[in-house]
Amino acid sequence: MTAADLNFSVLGPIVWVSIGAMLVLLGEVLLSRARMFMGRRLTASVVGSVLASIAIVTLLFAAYMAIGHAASGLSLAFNPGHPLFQLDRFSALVIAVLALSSLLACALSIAYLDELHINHGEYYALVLFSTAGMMLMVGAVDMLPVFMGLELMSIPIYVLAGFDRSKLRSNESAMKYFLIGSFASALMLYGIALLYGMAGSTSFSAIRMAFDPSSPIALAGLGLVVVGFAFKISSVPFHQWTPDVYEGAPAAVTAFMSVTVKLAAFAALLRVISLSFDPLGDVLQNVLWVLAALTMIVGNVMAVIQDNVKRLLAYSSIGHAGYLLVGFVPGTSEGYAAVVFYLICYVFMNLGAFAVVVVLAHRGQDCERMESMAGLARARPGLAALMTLFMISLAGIPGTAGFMGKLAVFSAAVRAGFVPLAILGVLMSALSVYYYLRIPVLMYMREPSEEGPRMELSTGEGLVLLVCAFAVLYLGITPNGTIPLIGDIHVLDWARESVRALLPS
Amino acid sequence: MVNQQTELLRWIPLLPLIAAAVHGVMIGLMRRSAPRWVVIALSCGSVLLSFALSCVAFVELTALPAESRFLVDTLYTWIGAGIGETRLAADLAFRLDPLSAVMILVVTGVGSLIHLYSIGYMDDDHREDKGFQRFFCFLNLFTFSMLMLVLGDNLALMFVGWEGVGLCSYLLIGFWYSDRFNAYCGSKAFIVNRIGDFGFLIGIFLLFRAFVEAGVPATLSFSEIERSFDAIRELTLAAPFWGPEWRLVNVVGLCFFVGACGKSAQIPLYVWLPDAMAGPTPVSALIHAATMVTAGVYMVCRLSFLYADAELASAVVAWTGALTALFAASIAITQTDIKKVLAYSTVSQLGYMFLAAGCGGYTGAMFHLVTHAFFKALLFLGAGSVILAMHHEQDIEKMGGLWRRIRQTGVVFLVGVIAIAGVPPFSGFFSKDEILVAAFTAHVPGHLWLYGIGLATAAITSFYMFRLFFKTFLGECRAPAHVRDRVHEPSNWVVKPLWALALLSLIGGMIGIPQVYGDSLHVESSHSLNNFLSPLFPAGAAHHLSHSTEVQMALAAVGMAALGWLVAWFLYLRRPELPARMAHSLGGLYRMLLNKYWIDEVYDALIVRPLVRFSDVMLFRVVDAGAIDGIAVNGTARGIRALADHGLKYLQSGLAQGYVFLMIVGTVAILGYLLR
Amino acid sequence: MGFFDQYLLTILTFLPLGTALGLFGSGALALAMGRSGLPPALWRAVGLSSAGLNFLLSLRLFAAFDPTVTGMQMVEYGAWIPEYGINYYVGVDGISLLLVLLTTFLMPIVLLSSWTDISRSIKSYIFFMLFLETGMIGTFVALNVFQFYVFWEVMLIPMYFIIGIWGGPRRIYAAVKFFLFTMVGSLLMLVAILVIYYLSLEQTGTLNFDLLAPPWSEVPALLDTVIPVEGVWWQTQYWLFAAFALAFAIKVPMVPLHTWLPDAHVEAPTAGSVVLAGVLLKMGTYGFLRFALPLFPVAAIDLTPWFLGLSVTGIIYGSLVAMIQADIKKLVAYSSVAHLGFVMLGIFALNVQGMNGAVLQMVNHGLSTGALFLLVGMLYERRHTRLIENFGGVARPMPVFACFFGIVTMSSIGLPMLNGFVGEFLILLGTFLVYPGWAALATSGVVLAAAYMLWMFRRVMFGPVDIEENRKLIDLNPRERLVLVAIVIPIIWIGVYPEPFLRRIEPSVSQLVEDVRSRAEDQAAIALVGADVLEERP
Repeated sequence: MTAADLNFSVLGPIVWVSIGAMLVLLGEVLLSRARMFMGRRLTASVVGSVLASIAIVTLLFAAYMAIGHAASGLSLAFNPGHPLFQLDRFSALVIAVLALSSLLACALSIAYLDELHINHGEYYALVLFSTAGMMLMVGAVDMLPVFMGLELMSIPIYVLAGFDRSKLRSNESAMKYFLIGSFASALMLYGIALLYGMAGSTSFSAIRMAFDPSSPIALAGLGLVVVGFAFKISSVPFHQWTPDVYEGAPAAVTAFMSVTVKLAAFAALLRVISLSFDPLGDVLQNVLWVLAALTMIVGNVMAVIQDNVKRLLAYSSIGHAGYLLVGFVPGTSEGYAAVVFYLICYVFMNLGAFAVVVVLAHRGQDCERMESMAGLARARPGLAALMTLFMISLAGIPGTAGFMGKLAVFSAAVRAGFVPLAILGVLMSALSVYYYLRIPVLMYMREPSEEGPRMELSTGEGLVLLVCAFAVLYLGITPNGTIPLIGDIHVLDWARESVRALLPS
Repeated sequence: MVNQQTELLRWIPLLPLIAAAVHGVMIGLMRRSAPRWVVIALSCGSVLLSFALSCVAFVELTALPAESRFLVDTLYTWIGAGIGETRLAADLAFRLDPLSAVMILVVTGVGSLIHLYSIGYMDDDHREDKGFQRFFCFLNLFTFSMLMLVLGDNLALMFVGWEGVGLCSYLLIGFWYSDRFNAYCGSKAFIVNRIGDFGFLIGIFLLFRAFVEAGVPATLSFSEIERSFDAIRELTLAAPFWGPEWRLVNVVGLCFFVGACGKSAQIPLYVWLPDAMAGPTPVSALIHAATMVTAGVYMVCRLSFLYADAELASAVVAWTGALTALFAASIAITQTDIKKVLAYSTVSQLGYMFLAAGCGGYTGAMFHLVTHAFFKALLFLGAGSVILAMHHEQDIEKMGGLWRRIRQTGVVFLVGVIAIAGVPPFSGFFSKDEILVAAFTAHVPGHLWLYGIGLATAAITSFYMFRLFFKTFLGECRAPAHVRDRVHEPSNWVVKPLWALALLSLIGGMIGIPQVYGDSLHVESSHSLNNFLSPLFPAGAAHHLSHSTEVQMALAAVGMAALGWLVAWFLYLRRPELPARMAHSLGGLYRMLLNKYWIDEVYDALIVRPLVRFSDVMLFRVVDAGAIDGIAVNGTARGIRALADHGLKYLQSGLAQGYVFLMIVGTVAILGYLLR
Repeated sequence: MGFFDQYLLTILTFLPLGTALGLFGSGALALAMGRSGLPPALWRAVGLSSAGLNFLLSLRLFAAFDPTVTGMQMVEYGAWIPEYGINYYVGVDGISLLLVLLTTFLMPIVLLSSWTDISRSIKSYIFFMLFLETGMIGTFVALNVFQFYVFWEVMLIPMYFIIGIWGGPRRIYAAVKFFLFTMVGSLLMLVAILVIYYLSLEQTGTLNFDLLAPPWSEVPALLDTVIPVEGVWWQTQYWLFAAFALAFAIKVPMVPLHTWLPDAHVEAPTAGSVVLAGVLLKMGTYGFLRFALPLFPVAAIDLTPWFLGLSVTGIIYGSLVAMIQADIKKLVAYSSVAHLGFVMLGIFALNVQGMNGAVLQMVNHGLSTGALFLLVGMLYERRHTRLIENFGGVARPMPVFACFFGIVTMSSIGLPMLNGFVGEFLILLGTFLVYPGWAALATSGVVLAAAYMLWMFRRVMFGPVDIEENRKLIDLNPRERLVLVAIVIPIIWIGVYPEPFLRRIEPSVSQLVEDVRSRAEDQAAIALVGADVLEERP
């Protein structure tokens, strides 16, 4: 195999992001040198923003490339002979969204890191690296790159989770995440090994060809791989790290990983499931059915009793993982399309919610106690309104992205006849209304608490909030419409078309 | 039946309504009351005017040939819904036929007299919540509703008037609302009436449904009902309570009669009327003696074609009437409040009317309705002037010997007493006589018993009325000195109407002198009322009576009256100490009568309290707050919290090894399922 | 006027929200330019005037409505998410016309009545009120089920905040309870909607959320789908109907799903209670008329006895419980349970009289109960208590108030020549034609209504003034009088001359009854012959 028949353009986004990461590291070194001479004029925050802007630019460019490719609609493999990584509509779309969401996460972090005095340049480098890993994982059509991507994604996040060195909880969470994460990876790796043993190859197509529903090896391999993903998407019973990690990690990091990791893991899972394992639909369906049900129930029920915003959002993200799994159960193209669409909606509403939490961080502390949101509507009406919007969207009230996403998922389930699951889902989301509405209750219907939150809103944060709010409303009202100036944003159609790439033609 | 359209009728009820509306806007919205003369001009003027119009209408009616005496005035369709045969179309239309003609004459005629009387009476109102204009507003509103009731061309419109008069009686009974008791009596009257209206509504629905079943165009208009009555004559109904099957007409008749019982204070719904005396006396005279309470009788006569065909219903009507007559009269014996006595006597006289109606003597009923309107209004107004003279003292134990002090009132009152006692040639004699004849000759089971009861009641009536007269006007005055000295004849506004009514109750009987005397006295107008009304009413096949029998019955009635007078005279003039001793010796009976057989208490204990208690304890606390809200709703919430707090939370130990363990369990489970 | 009339419904729907957003935007702009935001007074004035304008527009709608035509009028149809059969599709028939009119009529009254009542954060109050109006009108005019659902749920949010922010001491509990009750029901309805949606896809091959095809097109809509009577449980009419009925019955509310209502009413501010009682409850009954009955005729007819039973239970139960309430507002709340029971009875009588009466009764209840809440609110503003025992003899210091209170009480008792009677009479008559027993039971509610209302009225208004504060009560001021006159005029009008309304309701209602009956027969027939057709469903 010669370099001739490799088309590197396919790796474009990943390469760009990795280069960006290098640049950031480099810049960090140089600038911290420079600070010695220039001293106070070049403060840490300036350095941070410079590095952040580098990261943002690279991500922007990566997103641009991905979108371009998605628009072109063709699916190219990195090495056609024996495909490891392919950029088709699906991976292009997801990669674009990934780039966009980590871009927003970076924009969100600038002021926050200052506030928490953890303004170290490597932060952005880590974000970029893990983004690169995610991209790899999403585009992989072979078990090995999937695993590589997984690890490349996870390890920087382990570090990020513990980024606030001074805080014990942060370190603890990082430790936990690392331990359990590596355990999960081990299980997954073992599963991959078994599959290889069965198929004699790690490529999806080979595995699909050779997959034999009766052979225990195949089944065990499948099961272990699913477990590995179930951990990443924090599905019950592999979810327990989620609350601790989300709570311990700095809010910006939580924001980043709560959306991007989920997005990447789900996308990869989509590919794995749809490409390689459709022979035993029903068995797998039952497994997924149970996982979905458990995840929805546990996530929502536990969220009811939380008093810590980050923990609450952690459980809510578990609940949403449950809804997403519902989309897997039918095994139909609507189901997969619904999952993709839901993921896009989820990115914006969840990122928005976390953005508010990030904004509310002050005096080196995250805003965690729910009580500290009391009376926010008086102090920061705009912020309160946005938070309400995101909460309503997470709760799935019509007119917002959350509703559209849930509608897509549940309608796919209903169409395939999984009505009981759908009913369970809607009941759970009715339950979720209760805890999501507690935050507006506090903000609007209680008197302000004594400790006033940080008052100023940095440009980056404002940008993120606006983008998310706009996206939430847009996706909720006309997910298929046209925005003046920007052009057609047919997210629903994109989702529909993207999953075509997954299903064996 | 050629029916003549006319624009005239609508103005008869409309005028009082306009007056009431003007008053209402002034005091209800602007909150400033007009000068006295404006109020008087507006109210009395409007009522007098509509009286004049009624006379005109009456003349127009009499001008028509006897068999086609029928005027109608249609405004617009009030309620219209449904399609085809089953369409409900209730027009806002007024009909004038002899029956309603008599009624509007009574209502507007007696009504205007009472309006005039009220001017004087309400001037004397010294309470803190006096409301001269408010009073007249309500009075006009009442006149309007009453006219709607009698002029209404269909059952729906009749119901409008029916409820309207109920409302006005509610407002006027509680007119002096600062007194808790008055307000209580008002709402009691309304609610008891509502129970009657329940029956009325069911009756309407049954009738309507019957037409639908029979397949004829359903309707509520009287003339059409009468026209297509044959279609439903034979319909039957699965027995509501007992027996195999009931004739529908009977059930309908009973339902309507329930309504009549409410309005006209018959057993078992009479309880509100005595309490209604809490209202100002003119109100008692107009509403609770002359007009509103007779609405039930009017309804039965209006539906005579139905009742004539419904033996069972008629029998129930007759018997209820007779028993009420006796029962109320017996209570009246012991009452000491001048207005209470009159109230119970009203109840008993209404019983008479129903007795007649039930026996098919609809003319008799109407005749007695008219004369009763005259003399009972007279008595109430007389009582009112006594009350004024005594400075709002109503207890006859504290009266006596007023004859010398207020001669005019005494005289007119005596006229009223004689009239109600049924002494010829006063009006009461003739009407009561006709009722007794009707009972005697009726086909109702046990009609002779009815006759007997009627006769006995006549005696009791004359007894308690003379008792009332004697205790009030004769004997020595038992009032405290300071009152006694200040007793004086009230103003002319009060007294003049009394004379008019006295005249009416003296000669009012002339309109219905039975044939037998008519011939012997050579009175041209003999039995004119009967001739006027009879085209409307189905000719009940009464036994023929020889003139001699009629005379004997008349003599019997007079004898009863005389007996009652004699006993009263003996007890209250000759041996005034006796009653007390008798009361003492027959303590149980006396107390029972004095406390009106404890009916109110029984109702309260059996119905009202249990219902309230049930709603409070059982429904509200146990079901609503306990079962639904407590267990079902909040229970679910608590359950979910508990599931999280006491169950799932412990999975979240915070210890990595625990998490790993759970992961292994999960993995094993999945693998186990896949590899099974 | 052509163009104007063509988009009248859209204008009606979005004018309030547009105003609100406009105010919001200009306020934000002013802030951005360093000025202080718009003054609350301006918000109030603009909000009120836009609501008033909306009422005028709805009068225009009333005039433009052709009472002789059955079916939808003023239809507007546009693509929204066409790929999924989600269209913007509005139109009115006699039923929704009156409800729209009621909404636009109550809104200015409510805003005017809360002029001094609401003192805290007025801007957001106005904002939510206008938002709410848009939500309600949108719900009534929507003919695309998806669109209906969106408005139906969106409208919860403003109401939730109105109760939760300006409500009484237990406002949060009440608001959350209100939200969750409705949410549970409507989410199950959503699943049912999806099931029908895919049934119609299987049968007609088109994805379409339209309830019925627009007049000019033949595209099969949801009403053209045959919903099986037996088969897979979640595809049968009974379960789907149950899901719809649950959602609507919670909103109505029917016993035993009513317990959110007293809490919401008692805690909500006056304006909230008025809108809640006046309009929101009607959405439930409207839903039955517009969706539940036509979509699932067989189930509706089979389950009628249950609903009659529940309605009559509601009437009697509500009246009895109302009788013993100590809080006036709670009493009125339970009385609405009883009144809505009448409406449900009329609907399930399934004949023209009953339904006509039911629709009129929705309006009547909106007017008289709304007025009652206004009056209670005025009393509360003066004495800051709603307990009956704290009053007595109020008629002496406040005669004008007493006059209005009396009229409204009588109308809610159903006194002839006031609005309440016409509706109740038609309902009871219509029901009696088909179910005499139930109707007779329901008629007893008339007696009970008199009992509890008059008892309350007596204890509040009559008797001696034995509490000092009551002696000093001030009578209604011109603004309050204006409000009450405005709401009493229709009360009397409908009572004296209901024909204009009945005439407009009649065609739609008779059409509806006709449809339900015929479709029920057809589908029952299909269920008999074509059971196998349903078997090959996945």
